[in-house]
Parts: sequence; structure tokens; C-alpha cells
Amino acid sequence: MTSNRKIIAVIFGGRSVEHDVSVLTGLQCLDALDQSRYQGLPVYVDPEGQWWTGDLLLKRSLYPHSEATRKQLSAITLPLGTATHGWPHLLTMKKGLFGEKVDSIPFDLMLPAIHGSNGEDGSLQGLLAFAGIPFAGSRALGSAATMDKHITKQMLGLRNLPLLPHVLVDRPPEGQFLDRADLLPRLEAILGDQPFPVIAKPRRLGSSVGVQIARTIDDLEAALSLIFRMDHGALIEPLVPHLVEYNVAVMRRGGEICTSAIEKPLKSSDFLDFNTKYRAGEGGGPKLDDAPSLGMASLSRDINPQDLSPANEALLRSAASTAFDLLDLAGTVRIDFLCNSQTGDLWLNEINSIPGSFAYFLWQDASPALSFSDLVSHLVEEGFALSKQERADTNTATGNARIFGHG
Amino acid sequence: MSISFILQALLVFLWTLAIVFFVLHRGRAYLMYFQQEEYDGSRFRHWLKDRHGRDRLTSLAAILAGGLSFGAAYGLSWLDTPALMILIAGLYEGFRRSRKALLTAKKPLVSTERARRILAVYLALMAFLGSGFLIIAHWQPVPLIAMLVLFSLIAAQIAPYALLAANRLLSPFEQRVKARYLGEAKEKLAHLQPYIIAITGSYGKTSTKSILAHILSSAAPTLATPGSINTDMGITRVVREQLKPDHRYFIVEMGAYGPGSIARLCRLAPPKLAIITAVGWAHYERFKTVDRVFDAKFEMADAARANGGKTIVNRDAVPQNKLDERLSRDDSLILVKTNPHAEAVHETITGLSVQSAKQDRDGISLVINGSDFGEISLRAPLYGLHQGQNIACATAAALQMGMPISSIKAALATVPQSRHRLEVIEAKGITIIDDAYNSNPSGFASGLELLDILQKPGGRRLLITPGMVELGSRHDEEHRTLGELAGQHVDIALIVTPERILSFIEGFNSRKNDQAQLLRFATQDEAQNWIKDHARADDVILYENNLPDLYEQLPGF
Repeated sequence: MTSNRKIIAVIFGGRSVEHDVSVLTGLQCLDALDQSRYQGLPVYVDPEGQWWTGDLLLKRSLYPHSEATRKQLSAITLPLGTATHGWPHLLTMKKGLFGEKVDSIPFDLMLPAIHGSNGEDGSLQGLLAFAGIPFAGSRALGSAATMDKHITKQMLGLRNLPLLPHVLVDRPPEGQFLDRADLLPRLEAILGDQPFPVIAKPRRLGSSVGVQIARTIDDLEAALSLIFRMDHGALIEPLVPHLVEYNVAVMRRGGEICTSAIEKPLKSSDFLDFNTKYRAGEGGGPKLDDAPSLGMASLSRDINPQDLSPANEALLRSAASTAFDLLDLAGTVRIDFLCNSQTGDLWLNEINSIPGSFAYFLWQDASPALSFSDLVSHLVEEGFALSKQERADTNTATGNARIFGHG
Repeated sequence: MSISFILQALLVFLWTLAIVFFVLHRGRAYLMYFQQEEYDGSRFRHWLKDRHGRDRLTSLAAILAGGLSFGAAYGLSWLDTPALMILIAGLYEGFRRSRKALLTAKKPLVSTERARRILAVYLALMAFLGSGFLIIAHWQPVPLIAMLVLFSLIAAQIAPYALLAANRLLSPFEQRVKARYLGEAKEKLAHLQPYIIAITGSYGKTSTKSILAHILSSAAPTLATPGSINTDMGITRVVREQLKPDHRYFIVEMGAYGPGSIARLCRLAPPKLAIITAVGWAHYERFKTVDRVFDAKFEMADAARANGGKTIVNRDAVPQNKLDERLSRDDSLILVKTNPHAEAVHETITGLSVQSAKQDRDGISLVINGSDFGEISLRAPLYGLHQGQNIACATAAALQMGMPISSIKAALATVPQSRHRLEVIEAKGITIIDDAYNSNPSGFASGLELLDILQKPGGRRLLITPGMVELGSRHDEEHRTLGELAGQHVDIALIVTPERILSFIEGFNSRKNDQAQLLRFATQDEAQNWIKDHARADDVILYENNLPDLYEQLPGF
């Protein structure tokens, strides 16, 4: 009776700084799965990189897991170097009558819900593609291209999308150090004679960790010193005065690219840093302890803000759609824009290929509206379709690419 | 068979059960404390004395039972049964308390191989003692009850010493294990060849180490010995477990535990650069004179020089006559002038000098002068002016290793605070100065000064403290001085266990302004509840030496 239900392995957690938010996204997603069509299988990657499954993973209050909880979970692995029909199953060790035995856990599709490095950056997607595992969301290319802010901007620049200028700074090789005599002229060449204040951000980290405002060259050197502890590249952009941010989600439905409602995140500080983004309203404690935490959905925001002019709204929606198309994205992505509220200038800032809570709150208010459950169904079905298409592409029997004779 | 015989047999059986459980769990409980004292016999004996660790309850029960059975010997034979019951109850209660100590410990027993070895030998010793009793009972017709009472009493009293004896018996074996680990660590260091920076000093070494680790790690992967690990076994363990081929810099804190100890540690981890943060009176009992402390610390300079390296010395925190004498024959020292008001001497060999140091809401700022770059200002989000010396020493070390001052300055801007040591935290508009780990009067005074610096307009300055501990004969005098100082810096003082520090309260009241108040609380929790109800935005709250629960509870055996 349940055999017709597809098993959807939702993979969440991960080793990046966004581990906690990813747990929320993963659990929300499992909760939103349409139970009549799918059966959810939680796959949790802990901060050390070990994979786990088990019903207790669904309980948010148990994170981070105690030793006692751990004992009730099953450690799992994904074997990659084995010949399989279809794709590899997850494996776990079961205690049996005669010692441990390997038990396999089949699934039909994997849905990546890991934010940041090793989840949103194309590495997981590449691994799934390599194993032939059907998966949801953007593919390796789009994920990698949107993770790297420099590459994203280089690509989008080709279509003349509105972008802030930036200076790319690489981490000096070991034994060498940043020299302000080199840095300042580069800043001035791209950002003008008076480059400060600027904003410095890690090139590849997805979250706002490490994003800092610098008002002097001293500040900037301190900011870069911190960024280079986490990333080997940094982007320096001008700080937009009178800053407002607008975010929009994008997906492809029935072959057409469509955009969601627009949100204007509300915040008090200069910009959205990690604390305001993920710890809003708390005293800095671990946010998973807070009972009604809704992750990204819990932030205060203004949906379809009145202050966004119709011209800017049109620009924003078309730029977002163009970016989605150009970078060959899939699933639901959230694209963030910066705006100078005095001049009305608008810039595309960054693209999140796995946004927090899958940005379901933006689709709920889109026209036509889409429920979280329908959103997840869409992600799953699109994933099946894309993977089917890719399997056809890599079939060695098609195309006359054989070198070795087969009898 | 008579009823009383069956009852007796049952009671003897119960006693056997009780003594086995008692000996096992009491042994494990003592082993836990012994482990916390790092298997150091004299520290453990101190613990037994200071924390009332010797058995009282079970022994008392045994003595009571003995008294009753003595009565039995005079014809009141019905007294045997209650005597035995009391004895069993005493053993059971002793077992229960041991088990509770094991289960509720802040630092529970870690079942290492060494711990298991000690416990096994301890149990063997106790079994040996038990069989001795059996043999005596066989040869000497002593009443059974007397044997049971005597063995219970001796077991309860001898248990901690049996553990010490077990450790002593095992020591040749442990020495061999230790020597093997040490050899492996030396080999690994020789093979991986990280750049080793050694740090010692009577104070400031741990902070200097973490500041330098932060600076160097911005340039290349860096490992520093964590916390205050500074012994050969501690360093060995870090090398074996944490040092990776990637680590280019390895910062090693070394403790001086007597003449020759630093030299020994330097043979384990030969430094290319040494840092001596201070030579003072700490650990006086080990050295007797400050000159000997100096010589012990400067063994590190000898080791660095032998390795072709240099030694950074906090010039204003070491005895000048000894330093001058040393300078006349040692050209490997780089002096750091950390006291802005000190006379500038030894210009030619001064690596760096601190011109001024001050602190504000954002932390410490220093103006330093170096021969390569002239005058420059450094900022670090750390609090307490003593950190200025640590920043200067770490900066001088990084400079010596070839880092440009601009990169050092950039790294210092994000140096992390130490937990619970003048750690400043903002929460909901309230500023908290967490100095819970501090336990000395000068640190207390720094915290009070910081209250003024972090005070916001309209906000109040609050202090919550149970006072200092272990000041000995200076208890009243030091607390009076601190109370007077607090009177000038605090608007509301929340005193926990005020009866302990009456001189503080007198001092506070003699100097406080009219609006200032002093509140008394029996427990930390009550004071904390007051804070929860009454603290408001813009207040600044100093938590001074507030972690009494860091200490293990008295075992209450």
C-alpha cells in the first residue's frame, strides 16, 4: 500500500557554519512533504561530517545530539565505488544475532537542504550526479557558479545586469602578506578616489559570516585578515548608502521562469550580519533551543513592500529571471538585491541556490500562490525529470563513443 | 537451624555484599579525585585534608557497631544483630555517597587505561587485606563480628592510601609508558619540523600565547597548546594528538616546576623563538628566591640560543639586575619595553616599546614604537590594561618571525577574548563583564576600573561577587581595600555570602556615594534573580569570581 510512495532522502546539517539553519530547513522540508505521494527519509550530516538517519532526527529539541540520542540513531554511508543497478543505496550496520550486518536503505531521490560549503556549492550535487542518484534543485554547475560571488558577477555582467563594482583580493600565499601599497591603488582604480566606506565579503561562503563594513584602510586590512581565515578570496564592494534590501525567489514552472513575492527584510543594524539573519530576537543563545523557531521564515520582513517603485520591481523580476536562466539554475533559488532608497538605484547582490526554508514564505504570497507542500512536491518532481534527462545524456550506449570492443 | 542463625548468616551475606560494593565504589570515587589531581600524591593528600575527603560516616557506624558488639562480649549477645545491621547500613550509606559523588561530579571519572590499572591494583590490595583478615581469623579465635567491624573500619580509612600505594606500585610501569610517548612526540616534532615558539612567565603566558596564536594563524596554520597545559606529558599529548603536517607554527607554553624543568621541556620541543612574559613571585615555594625563578625561566633563552634563535623578554616584568647581568653575556635577547612610564634603556637591543596604553569601550589601544616602522597604534578588543603587555610581547614575537606590522595590526583587530576573564559581552543593551574565573585582588581592581570605562550615560554600575577566596591572613585587609575601591566605582553592590567579607562591606560603606547601595544575598542564585528582575538597558554588570560551582562539592564521605 505504501509501495507507490517515493522515498525522498532529505539531506541536511553539514559541516559549514550554516549547519544549524540547515537543520531547520531540512526538518521543515520533511514536515512539508506530501505524505500521500512521498515518504521522507531524514539524512543528517553532523558538524564532523558523519551521516545519520533515524526517526529521532525529526525532533528539533534534540539538537545538538547527546550521546544517548546518538545511540538511537544509525550511522550511514553512501558507497560510491560499487557497481549498482540504478544508484547506490545508503548503508548502515545493524546488530544482528551473529554480530553486525550491513543493511541497505533504498531511496528514490535526494533533496539537498544543506546551506553553504559542501552542500550549496556544487560539491554535493557533483557527487550525486557522479553516483547517478536522482536529486532535486540546481545542478553542480549552477550551484558552484552562484556560490562563488566573483564568478556570479562576472557571468551576470555579460547580460548587463545591474551589479556593484568589486575588487577581488586573493589570500596572499603562505609567507607573504597583504600590502596596502598594492591594495589602495586597485581600490581607487575600481571604486574611485574615495573608496571608503566599503563592504568586504568572503568570495565563497554563502552566509553573512565574515561580511564586514570597513571605513578606513585599517578596518579593511582587519576585515580581510578575518576573511582569509575562512576563505582564500575576498570581494570588496562600495557600501551602498541608504541601503534597503529586496529578495525574490525564482523557479521554473511548466517551462516558464517565474518569480515570487518580494520581501524587504527589516533590520536595525547597518546590514544583515549572521547574528541578525539567524539569531534575530534572541540573546545570542543557540537558536535551536528556542521553541517556535522558524529559521529564515521567522525574521521580520515586509512582503511586497510599497516603497519599491513599479519600474524597479520590473527590473528586479527580469534581472532575477535572467540570472536564473543564464546560470542554468533549478529548484527554488532566492536572489538578493541592494537598493539605495534615496536614488532608487538597484543592484543584484547574490544568489542562494538553496535558500533558508526554501523561501517558502515568498511562494506562499506569490501569485499564483504555492503552498510549502506544493513547493516541495515541485522540487521533487523537477528533480526526477532533470535526473532522467541527465541519465539519458550519460548513457554510454548512445552516441558512438565506444573504444573497446565488446565481442 | 535456629531463626537467629539464619538471620546471622543472612546478615553476614549482606555485609559481604555491602563491603564489596563499598570498596569498589569508594575506590572509584577516590580515583576520580585522584585523577583530577593528576595522580599527584601530595596534591591528593592535600585534597583529602582540605576537602574533608577521609571517610567519617562509615567509620562512625563501624565504631558504633564495635561498641555494641563489645557489649555483646559481656553477655548481651542479642546486641550482635543490631551491631551488624548498623555496620551494614553504614557501609551501604558509604557506597551510596560514593556513587552520588561519581554521578554528580563536575569532572567525572574518565576511564583511561591508567585509571583502570590503578583501580585493578587497588582492588587487589584490598582483597589482599581481606584475605589477611581471613587468615588471622583462622589462627586466632576472634569473634566474627569483631573481624567484620575491624575490617570495615580499616577498609574505609585505608582506601585512599591503598589507591596511592597502587599508583606507587605502578609507577615503574607508568614511567616506561611515559618515556615511550615522550620519545614518539620528539620523533614527530623532528619529522614535521614546525617552527616552535616557547612561552613561559610567572604571569601573562597563557594570554600572550592565545594572542600570538591568533596573529600567526592569520599567516599560516598554527597550533598552540590549549588552556594552561604546560607539562611534559601535556605537551606530549598535544603533539601526539593534535599536531598535523599542515601546522607551520607550534606555540608551546612551558611551566617552570623547579630548576631544570624548562630545560627539559625545551629538549622535548626545541624552540626557535622564546618568549619570557614575566619573572615574579608566583610559585615562590618551589624556588625560594626570585633569582632562582629568573634562572629557571631563562633556561628557555639558553635553549633558544643553542637552537640559533632569539628570546623576547618583557623587560619591565623581570628583575633588572639579573637582566643586566644576563645581557652582558647573551646577545640573543630582544627586549620589549611594556611599561610606558619606565625609563628607556638598552636602546640598541629594544625590539619594541610601548609609548602609551589605554582602554575604552572598544578595548585596548596601544601606541608602540619599533625600529623598523616608527610609531604605530594597535587596537585589540580585549579588556584590562595588563593585556597591553601581552599584546606587545606577542607583537614583538610576530615581528621577529617576519610578519609585517600592518598584518599584525589587522589580526589584532579580531583577537578573541578569553572566556570568563574580563570578558565583555553585550546582551539586550546590558553590558556584562564576566570575570568569573579571576581569583586575585589586582584582577578584581581591573574589573572595577572597567565598570567606569564601560558605563553608558544613564546606566548604572553593578557588581555581583562573593569576594575572593584563599587569601589567607590577608583576607580582611585585601577585602577592605577592594571594598573601598568598589565604593568609588559601583552604584549597586550585590554581595553573596556577606558574612564572609565584612571588611569589604565596611570599606564599601566608608567610600560609597549617597545613592549607592549594597544588597546581601545568601546564594548566587538569589543575587542572579535580583539581576533578572532589576537590571535594565544601559546597565553594566561586573561578575567577579562568581563560579563557586567550578569547585567540586565536598564529597561528604
